[in-house]
Amino acid sequence: MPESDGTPATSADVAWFTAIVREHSTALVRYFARRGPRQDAEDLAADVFATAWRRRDDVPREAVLPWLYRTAGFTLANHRRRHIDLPVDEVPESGAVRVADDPELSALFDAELRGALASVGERDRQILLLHAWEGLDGAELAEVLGISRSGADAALSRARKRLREAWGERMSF
Amino acid sequence: MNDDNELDPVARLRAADPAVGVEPHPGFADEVIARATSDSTADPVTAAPVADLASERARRRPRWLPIAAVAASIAIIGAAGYGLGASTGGATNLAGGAAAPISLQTGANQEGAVQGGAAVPSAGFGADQKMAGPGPVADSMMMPYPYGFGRNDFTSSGLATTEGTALAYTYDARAASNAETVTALAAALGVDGTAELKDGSWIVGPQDGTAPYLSVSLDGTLGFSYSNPLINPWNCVEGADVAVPCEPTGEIPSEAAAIDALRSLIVSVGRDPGSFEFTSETWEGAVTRMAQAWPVVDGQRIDQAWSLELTDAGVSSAYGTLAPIVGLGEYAVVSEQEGFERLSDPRFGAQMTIMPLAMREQPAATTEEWVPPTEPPATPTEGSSISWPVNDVEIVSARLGLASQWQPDGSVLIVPAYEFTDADGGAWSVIAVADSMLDFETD
Repeated sequence: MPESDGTPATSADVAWFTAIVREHSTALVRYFARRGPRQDAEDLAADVFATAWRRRDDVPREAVLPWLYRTAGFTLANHRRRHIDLPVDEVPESGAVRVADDPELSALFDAELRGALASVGERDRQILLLHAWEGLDGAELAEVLGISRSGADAALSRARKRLREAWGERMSF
Repeated sequence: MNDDNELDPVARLRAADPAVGVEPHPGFADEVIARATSDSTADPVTAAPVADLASERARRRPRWLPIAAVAASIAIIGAAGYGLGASTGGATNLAGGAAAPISLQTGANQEGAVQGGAAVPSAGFGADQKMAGPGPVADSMMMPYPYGFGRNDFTSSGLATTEGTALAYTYDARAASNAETVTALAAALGVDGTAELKDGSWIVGPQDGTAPYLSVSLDGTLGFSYSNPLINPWNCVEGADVAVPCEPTGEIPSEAAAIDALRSLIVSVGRDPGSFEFTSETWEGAVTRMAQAWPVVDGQRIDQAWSLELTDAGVSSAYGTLAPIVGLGEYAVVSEQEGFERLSDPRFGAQMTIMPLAMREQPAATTEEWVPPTEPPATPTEGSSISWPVNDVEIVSARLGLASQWQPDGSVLIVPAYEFTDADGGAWSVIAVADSMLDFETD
């Protein structure tokens, strides 16, 4: 398979890319602003677009935004590893989760929500935030998560259930 | 679905979106488009061989040129990089002389990535790493491509076959997990109040975003996080016109001021600032200055730095690890050769899928014209071979250092680790502790 990198850009490519950048800039910048320092959001969004440009042959034309979000997830994870003021090197699957250092949660000032989110798993939290903040569900969520549509529906449903349970427990005090 | 129900936490979460009103600055899309499309003709080989966050940004976006990017003793470029490149295996370029930290973590949050402890090509995210020299480093190095890549064939020659021992360390979180320590830190940050243990964290100050607050989580490093929303220059005013971007203002504090502020935090909790190395940087267009303090153990930086962001109104945020580092004595370590063999041992998870191939991707200008497909791929025929690409990774050098390692119970060790450098400038990290001292039990 030829690499996109080696393919000269056509004017159609540029037109397509121009359209997706204009259409999705705000969504991507917000994605990063929700999950890390505001001042890094534009740089990271630009990174994702640069990837989209280089990988333009691989970007599914009918589902650009999910692809961008998926790439944004990788970009963010990479950025966090490099970015020493967000030490999220390892969040144990069980046991003490480093809530205070979880950038997604640090942006969230609602302490009750933060507590409930901290007690669901990392994967559930990721799904819940994609759903609540990026407004994803169904096929789009499946694209971002890289799983099947039915799998995504089930995962979202499970995550919501767990959050409701965690929420209920906290609210019952 | 009962999203509209006030009691539904998902609805509440939606309402708490921290990015409401956030918009890219005017012209952002144009810059991105111009930058990306012009890059396809640019020569990637001329890219800066060393990349800390500052120079990385500078390379992608000239307006981010680092100004006064100076560490405590020498230029931060090459000294406190955020690790685009591979390690040269040494301390040669570090301010203060400590060797670069090795990182075994791969980002547990990342789907598709191998979990921590795997053989990790750390180029691209190991801090403090430097390219061996100008090389074929493309922007694409920064990009993870976990899409189906990651089968590797490792080769090497001339690695040492002698086993040995090395000192290991750990964070003694319980030693510092007390109200006195946290209160002292809060006082140093100007937060009034006494630390309280609440919901699994030490807390000082209200957590509603109206005032500075400090929290210390009960994790293995006793990580603290401080934020002062009142002086965060990036906080936009609620309800402001979203068409007008938030323009932060203020004078950039001096390097000495930022490092002094961080040093005073370290002193406030009874730690010795002499056991840290300090770095600091800012960027053009920024109104704040960052400082980092790297714990140094046995002449090597540990990959868990303290960090602080200083504005002209004071410290706007700070992070760090309150737990002191204590010795665990000597551990048997495998030879360089055995460490290398671990790269191909599934127990050490060498099926790492992030950096290596992306690193090798050469955006060379070939001449193939892209044409939209008119039909799906051809149906494979009977007896056709199956494509199973494997990357050849030639290891050329090894270095024994230290890496932090999270345990299932949340405790954190600092263990001997090898960092292998490959011929293309990538770096791979693997735990060096001998099998006899590894507990392979699963829960």
